[in-house]
Amino acid sequence: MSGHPGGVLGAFRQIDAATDAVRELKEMGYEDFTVYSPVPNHEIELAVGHKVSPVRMWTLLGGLAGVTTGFWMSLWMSYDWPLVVGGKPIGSVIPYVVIAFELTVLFGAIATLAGVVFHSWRTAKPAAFDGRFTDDMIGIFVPCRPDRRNAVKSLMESSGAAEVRLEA
Amino acid sequence: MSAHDRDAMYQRGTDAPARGLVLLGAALAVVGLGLFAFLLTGDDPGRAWRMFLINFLYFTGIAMGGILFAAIQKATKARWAGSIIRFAEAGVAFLPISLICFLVIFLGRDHLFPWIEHPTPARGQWLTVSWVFWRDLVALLVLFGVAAAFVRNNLKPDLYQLKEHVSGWRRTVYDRVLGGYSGTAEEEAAVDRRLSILAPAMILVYAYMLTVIAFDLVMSLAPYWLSNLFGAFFFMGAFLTGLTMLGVLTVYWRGKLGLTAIITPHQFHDLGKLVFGFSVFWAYLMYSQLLVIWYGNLREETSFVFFRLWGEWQPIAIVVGLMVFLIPFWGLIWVKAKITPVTFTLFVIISLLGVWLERYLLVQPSLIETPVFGLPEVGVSVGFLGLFLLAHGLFARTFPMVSPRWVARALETGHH
Repeated sequence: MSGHPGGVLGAFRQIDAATDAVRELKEMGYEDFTVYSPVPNHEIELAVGHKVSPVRMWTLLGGLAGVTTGFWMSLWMSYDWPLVVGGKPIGSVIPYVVIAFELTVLFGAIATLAGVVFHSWRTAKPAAFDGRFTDDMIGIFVPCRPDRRNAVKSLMESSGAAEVRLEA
Repeated sequence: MSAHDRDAMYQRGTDAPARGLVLLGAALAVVGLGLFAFLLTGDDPGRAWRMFLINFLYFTGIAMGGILFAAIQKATKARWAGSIIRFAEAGVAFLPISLICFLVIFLGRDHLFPWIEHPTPARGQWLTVSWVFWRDLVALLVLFGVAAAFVRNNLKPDLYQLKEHVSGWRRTVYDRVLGGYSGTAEEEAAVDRRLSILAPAMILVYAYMLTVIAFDLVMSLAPYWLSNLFGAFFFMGAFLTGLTMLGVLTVYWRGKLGLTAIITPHQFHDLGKLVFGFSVFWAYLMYSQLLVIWYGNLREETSFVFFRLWGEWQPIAIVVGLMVFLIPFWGLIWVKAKITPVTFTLFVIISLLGVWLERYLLVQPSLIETPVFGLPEVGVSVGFLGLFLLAHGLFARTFPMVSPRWVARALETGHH
């Protein structure tokens, strides 16, 4: 399989072995490796140490846009075509909170989805993969130059990889 | 971490220095309750009784809310709060005091409950002195009984491990709590089995019994007003205070016991998220009641709400909304604010005081026309704070504030 920049692909059976390998890779200065895990796991997450996801800002801004739109839309519509309902004031803020709340959720959710898609697209990097990483194994792919590959390979093996492959 | 550090932490966790807390609590309690007794002989005993009721509800809520948090942790098999759970469970020491306070409220019933002097036929037999107080006494006994059984079983394995290291009266207490527990594998499994029943039971009993208390001791103060959701509003507010008080105690004990290695930003982050979430939930329940009352527009329903939201009580209502919802919402929405102890403490204390003011606003306008706030209000509250600190300090003097099993496991694995 090509399309990715060659490197070393390690498959791990134990979480501890995989986190050790991640820590050692980071110590050696590798930053752009990819880790696959069939289930979410805090130890791996901690070892990889990603920066806080920028998607949360999309959620916040989407939510704020939603609450503003909710109030603006309901009030504007009420005054644009005034009807007295149930003897209440034309523009009644109390029930419009419901609309504002729902639009907060809707806009927040859509913005989050858009953020996930956008940042995934921006940061996606081609990497080698193995079907077992969605089943019972943790995978680490390190893209590196051919002359470094043996060092990475022996690092993974010494930290307890079940299998290490060189990917062209 | 060296073996020496580990031993030191173990020692501090099991032998918490709480003498200062006990003395401070006792001093505040004597001053505050002395003032309460003095006020009863004055010309407006009702004022003191109202504060007694408000603080009974508030501090019982804090104690029970903390134990509810522990029960939820057990029921969901969560482990992230293992290092701070005992600070919440310590609320169990306040329950006997709370029960006595309830009996004291019985003595002051004529100053509090308008339906005693003016019976409310619309409520039939529900609001009569003997039925209300017997019912509430049984409710509290069931609630406190389940809570005590839950905490006791949670303590057993720890006390068994430590009982050789303590002597004198502490040893006597440990033996009493342990009963026949002898630390075998079967008995440990039996404790776990019992906890897996007691934890969900605790959660249900908390909701049902505090609903009864809220209906009888708060809603009945305005006997023509009804809201089905009021019970939930009351006990979820109490849960919020349980969480915020746990936050304050976590910051306090973390410094006092030197537990920075096992109480990390993760714990503050998660606790901060819970406080944030339940601040929102508080506003949600508040609004859920407001919306239907506003739509229905029935006079006996609207009067309760509008009396509090407009007119002389309005400033208090606005401050409550700010302190319980808006300030913690915008304060704790940021990760940094949650994991930095200073800002975390600040917002958590604002929320804690805000719910106190909310309880004040629930009780007072039903009984008096205009807000009063002065030395009697502060004094009685300080007295109750003293009782709470006293109970907490006594628990900390007696029992391990950090589970020795937990310290051992956390330090071995390095994950907390």
